[in-house]
Amino acid sequence: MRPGFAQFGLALPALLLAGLALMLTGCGKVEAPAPHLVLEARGDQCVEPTDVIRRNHMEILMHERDEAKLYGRRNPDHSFVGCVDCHVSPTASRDDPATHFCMACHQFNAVRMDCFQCHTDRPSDDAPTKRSADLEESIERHLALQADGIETVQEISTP
Amino acid sequence: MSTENSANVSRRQFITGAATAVAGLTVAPGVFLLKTAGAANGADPATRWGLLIDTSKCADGCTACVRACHEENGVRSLGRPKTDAQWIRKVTLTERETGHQHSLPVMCQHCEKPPCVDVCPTKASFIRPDGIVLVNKHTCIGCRYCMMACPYKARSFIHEPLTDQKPHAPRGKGTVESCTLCVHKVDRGEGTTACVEACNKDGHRAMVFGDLNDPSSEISRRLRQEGSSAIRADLRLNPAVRYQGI
Repeated sequence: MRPGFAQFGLALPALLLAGLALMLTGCGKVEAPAPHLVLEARGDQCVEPTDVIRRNHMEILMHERDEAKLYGRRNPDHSFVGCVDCHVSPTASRDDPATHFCMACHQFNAVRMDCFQCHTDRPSDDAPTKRSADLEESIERHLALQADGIETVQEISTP
Repeated sequence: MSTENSANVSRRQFITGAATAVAGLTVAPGVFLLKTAGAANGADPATRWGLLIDTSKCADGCTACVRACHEENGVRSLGRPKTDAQWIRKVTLTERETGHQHSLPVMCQHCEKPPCVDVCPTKASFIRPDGIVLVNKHTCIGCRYCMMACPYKARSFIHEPLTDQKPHAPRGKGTVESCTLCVHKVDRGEGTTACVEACNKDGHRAMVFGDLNDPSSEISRRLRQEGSSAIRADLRLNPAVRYQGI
């Protein structure tokens, strides 16, 4: 056996390993920041149970947008601005779907939506104060309804 | 990573953590508030929102209302004056015989019988029950018939992709837009518009916003006592924006 061949035989796996390691680090670098921006701004409790909102958010938005636009009947619980205020990071952008709560999922599922061609893709400046004020108001409404004997709270068993 | 992390976590805690303190009494993990019956009743058909503009108080060269409107609604110049959107503009009128000049703001006049609504093929141009004339951009196809039909040149077409819109004023390429009479403020019950606020702030007090159908409102009282005129009154569109002194 020639010495050159033995050297090559050792060098080939080493090269492959190095290449694999490079590829992995490359992947890590590209994807690392993505889940953070999406996850950190995901909100803790949605206006509807997660399985309902996951399956039906488009119907809720589509149905109530006409009510809001044509008749001014705005439901703060189901407002598009409300979704963005709670779920989207202030540093996210529609042009970088990996950072954006809505766009990331829509891109993954290959569902194109045009919302952000007109609607802003970022939360409003006063989002935190506005959301907590909205929630307080919403809870007051619930308490008032409960005082009238109307059931407004539902127990959801998560699988 | 850690700095970004903590910044965002504190933001989230601020939104939801503060809320948990309030909600904690009634909402436990796994217990959700049902949809509330709190949605507002919306635009009241008994009201008709309008503006009264006293041109004798409107200062020549002052553009406070224009700046306030465009700031409020995120309307920015793209450096192309021929196609830039204009929701409100200052117009200078000169009387031919005497040379007397005066200046006044012109925006969508929110007609009772709006020609833009008549011509819209998709019913995207519509009049709300409370008299505010708007474009539903979900159904606007950008044909621009309404721009042709409007005798006040109140509408603008968006030719280019936009970014950084205001949350309450969605705007986008391929749709027509115009003054909304600050409908977001109206729906929040603020009872004023950005242009009126700016005019009052500058001390001119040339503009009044109010309900034309409410006999006790300031705008109705002044219209009744002092009189007013409409631009192109000959078209009998009955605009909700009324002028004094022209």
